[in-house]
Amino acid sequence: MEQPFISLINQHRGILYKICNLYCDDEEDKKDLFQEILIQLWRSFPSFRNDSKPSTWMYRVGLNTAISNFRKESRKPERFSLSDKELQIPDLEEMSLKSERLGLLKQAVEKLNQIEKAIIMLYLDEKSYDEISDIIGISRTNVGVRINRIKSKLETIIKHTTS
Amino acid sequence: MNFEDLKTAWQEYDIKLQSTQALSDKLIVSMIKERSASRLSKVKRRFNFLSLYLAGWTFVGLCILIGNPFDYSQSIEFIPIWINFICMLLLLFAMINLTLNLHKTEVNQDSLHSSVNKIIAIISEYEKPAPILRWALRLLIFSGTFLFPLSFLPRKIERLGIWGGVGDMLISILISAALIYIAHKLGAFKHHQAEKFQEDLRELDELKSLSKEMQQQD
Repeated sequence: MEQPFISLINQHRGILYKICNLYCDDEEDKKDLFQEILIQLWRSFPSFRNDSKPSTWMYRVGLNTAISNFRKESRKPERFSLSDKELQIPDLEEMSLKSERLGLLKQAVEKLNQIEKAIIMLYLDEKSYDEISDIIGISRTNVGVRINRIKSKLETIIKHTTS
Repeated sequence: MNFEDLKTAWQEYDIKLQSTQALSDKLIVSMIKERSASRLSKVKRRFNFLSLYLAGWTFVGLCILIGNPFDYSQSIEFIPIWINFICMLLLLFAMINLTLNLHKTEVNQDSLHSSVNKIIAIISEYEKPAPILRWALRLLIFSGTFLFPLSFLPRKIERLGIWGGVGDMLISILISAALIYIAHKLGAFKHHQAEKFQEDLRELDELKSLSKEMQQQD
């Protein structure tokens, strides 16, 4: 069971990196969240029977862990003991220093709340309204309404930042 | 710059992430073998530990009631031990019930909305025994500090006379009370619990507002 799991994780590792970068600022927190999501994915892997796309399953578990299960109080003592060099989460902050557009994207997304971050991440990843509705647990119509609201919120943030 | 530029930036970011080095098998395997640090897993472990701890003390109480190591001769002398035993038994049942409920809960593959609601239910359930626990703890302290030394009074009076017996009992009570007072001053009963409780309530409020926000959209 390990090998299919590992290849699935590697195939979609970008999802995990994005969630960690969106929901944590500190490098240590990102690594802790990454590990926690991986553990939760491993636990739910036996019940994942390709009913949904692997990416949908990973978004669900990842976002649920980031929003509801992960708390700072329960970190450090139980973190994995491999050297830090073995896990390098590509840092959005670092990338944004090299790209003006990425810098702006980071600044804008940081001003959104947890649910908005999840919705806009799924939208930017070109997930269908049905998939977003399935992952977040709100109706399809409201996904559309919500996306429009977030878009205008982001545009206002961009205007304020660039002016 | 507009939203479409942000979309392009996101795609640029996505391409960069996909081009990063793949995670090694060794890293993934060692990470999934670690214990989970999630809120739910931590609460489950804490409940398991508390259930075992309470089961141990309930067993000790039962042994004292059956074996009578203090050589009590009258039923009234058993009152403090009975109080301790009943408190422990009630707490143990409450804890086992909560632990079983928690073990039935898995939230990971649900939608975000139902996952948040389940976590809210878990934390609320987790906070439920707090007032009972506080009262049981007070009763246990009262019983251990005052009633337990009191149960030896008839024998002490027999051995030391009325003033000697009462004095000896008061010394025991005062020593226990002083120790409890010092522990209280050092924050053993209040400080950490209050802080933790506040933290849990903050978390609960945060989750409730997330759930409310999702409901509002529906």
